[in-house]
Formats: sequence, structure tokens, C-alpha cells
Amino acid sequence: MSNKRTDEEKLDALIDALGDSVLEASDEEILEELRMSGVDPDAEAARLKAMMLGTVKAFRQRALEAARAAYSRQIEQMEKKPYPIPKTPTERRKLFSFFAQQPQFAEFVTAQYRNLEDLTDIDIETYLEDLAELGILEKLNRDKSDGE
Amino acid sequence: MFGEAQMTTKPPRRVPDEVAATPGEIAAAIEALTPGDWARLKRSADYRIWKLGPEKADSRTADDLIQTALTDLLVDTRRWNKSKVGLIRLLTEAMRSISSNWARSYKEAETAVLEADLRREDEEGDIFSPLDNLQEPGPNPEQRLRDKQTLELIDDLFKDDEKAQMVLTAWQEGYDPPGVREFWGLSQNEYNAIVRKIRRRLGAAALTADHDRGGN
Repeated sequence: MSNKRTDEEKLDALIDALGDSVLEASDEEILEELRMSGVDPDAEAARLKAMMLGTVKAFRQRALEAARAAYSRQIEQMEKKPYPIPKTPTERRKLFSFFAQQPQFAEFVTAQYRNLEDLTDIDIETYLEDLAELGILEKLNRDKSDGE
Repeated sequence: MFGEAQMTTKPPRRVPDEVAATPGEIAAAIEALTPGDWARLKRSADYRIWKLGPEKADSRTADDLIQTALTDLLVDTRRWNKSKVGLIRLLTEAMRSISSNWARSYKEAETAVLEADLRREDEEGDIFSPLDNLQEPGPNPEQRLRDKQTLELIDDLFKDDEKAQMVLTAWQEGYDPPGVREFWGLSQNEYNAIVRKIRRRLGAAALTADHDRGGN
């Protein structure tokens, strides 16, 4: 037999073979061997199961908390962001009216927003903020300036 | 006689996103493990920690090894394609790789080389690390002495059992089970009986000794 292997390599190979043999062993064999080495298989299985499921649970909670924190940060940023919309309800209504009449933005104006008189000031303010967030208001102002 | 082990380097192939098990699927698989599976996992982790020894294990236990393998899976360092390999096989392969990296880190710490953990597994569930192709520093004299003593301990445990010695020697030379059986002309049943005896005697002696010095 070859003697070229170092003791470290021999041990590695031996442990690999032992590990593989454990995977091939029957349930009865491996459970009996565990008992013979002084380990209660049922108690050990319950302990390992609780440990591993606890790790998965902690990981999932961390992932959920990270997603929640990212969402909160995004909302916070949106709330802090000053939108370039008129300060008074009358001016906002006037801008919205102008926007709604522009054919190039018709796709953004759904049926419920076409009747200006039915919309509250808050509806219009929110809608303009959404348009600002999407960059559409900026484009509208640019078109308006170009037209003038 | 025994041939040289074939060394192959496979290109890394990650398990695709769409088939990689989710944390929910991993949890379901853990729930479904049988008592035999838990015993296999425990024993596999014990063997790896035992092989590392107290210096290389650096206070890490079999539980730590299992948890590291699981965490690798959860944080996507390693992926699991359920249709190709079972959870226990995946975890034991992961533990083999992780314990090998722990041993390597221990060696490299001695030469003050910082190693990033780059281990990954490919689509087949085989472990790949870009560092695999680097020449490793050899064990220091203390490690060499410990490896020698461990082999002597095993040899001593089976000094009265010629067949066990035959199998152990073949294992140490890297022979797989069919190769061992063929080389020594053992039937499957004979081989299985010898392997059972080896595991039991080692379990009662070496692993118990490991527990006494702080392992799980």
C-alpha cells in the first residue's frame, strides 16, 4: 500500500469515509451507535431541531425587519421631500386643470379625475405630489416654459 | 495497488435562483427530518470537530458547525436544490467544507494571512472555493504530532482486529467503499459489519474523549 500520504491526509480521508458510512447506515444502526456512545437520540434530535428552527426563525425575522426598515426609510424620505407644487388650493387646482387638458398626459388622467369639480383639494394635492414624484410635473413645467 | 486520488477542478455553477430552496422550504425540510437523520447529522458534525482537534476547532463545537452550515444556506452563501440532493447530504457536505476552511484559516492565521471565506457550492451540491487551487501551508510540528497520535490511537483501538485495520488502511489511502471491498475481497455484508464495528468503537472511545474536553 502507498505510504506517500501525510498523516493529515490519511486522517482527512478516514473522516470522509466515516462520514460517508454514517450517511449510508440504516436508521437502526446509527441510532443504536448514538445510544452506545451515551447520547439519547430522541433528546438530541429534539435539541438540534429546536436549535435549527430557531436559527431559521431568527433569520426570517431579521429579513422581515430589514424590509420593514427599508420601507419606513422610503416613506420617511417621501414625506420629507418638498414637492414643487403650488402653495394654495386655488393655484393647485389651476395647475391640475392645465395638466388635465394636455393631450400628451391624457393617459395619466383616469375618468375619476376628469371632472375637476368633484375632486377635493386633498385629492388634487395628493395627485400633484404623485406626479411630482414621477417627474411628470417637472416635464409639464418644462413644456409650459417652452410653450411660453 | 492503491492509485493516486484523482484531483479535478470544476467550474463553479450556482444553483439557479428559481430552484434554490427558500428559508420556508428549509424550515419545512428540518421539520421533516427523521430520528435517523438527526443522528447522522450529529455524528457527521462530531467527526468533523474531532478531526479538527481543539486547536483548529478553536472552541467551536459540533453545534457551531451545524449552525454555520445552516446559516450559509440561509444567507445564500450556499444554495440547496431540493430535487438533486437531500438536506442531510447537503449539510454534511457543507460541514466538510466549513471545517476544512476552519483548519485552513487556523494554518494561515499562523502566517498572518487574512483569508476571506469564498466557499460556494455548485449546482450538483459539490463545494467549490477559489482557494481550493492554492497550495496550502503544511501543518506545524504540533499538528503533525497530533495527527500522528490520533492515527496511532485509532490503530491501537483496532490492534486486535485485522479486518478493521484493513478497512481503515484503505480508507486512509482514499479508497471508496467499492474499492475497499474489491481490494480486500470483502462481501457487502462483511464490509458493513466491519464499518459498524469501527464506528461503534470510535464512538465509544475517541468521540467520548472529545466530549470530555468540551465538545458536544
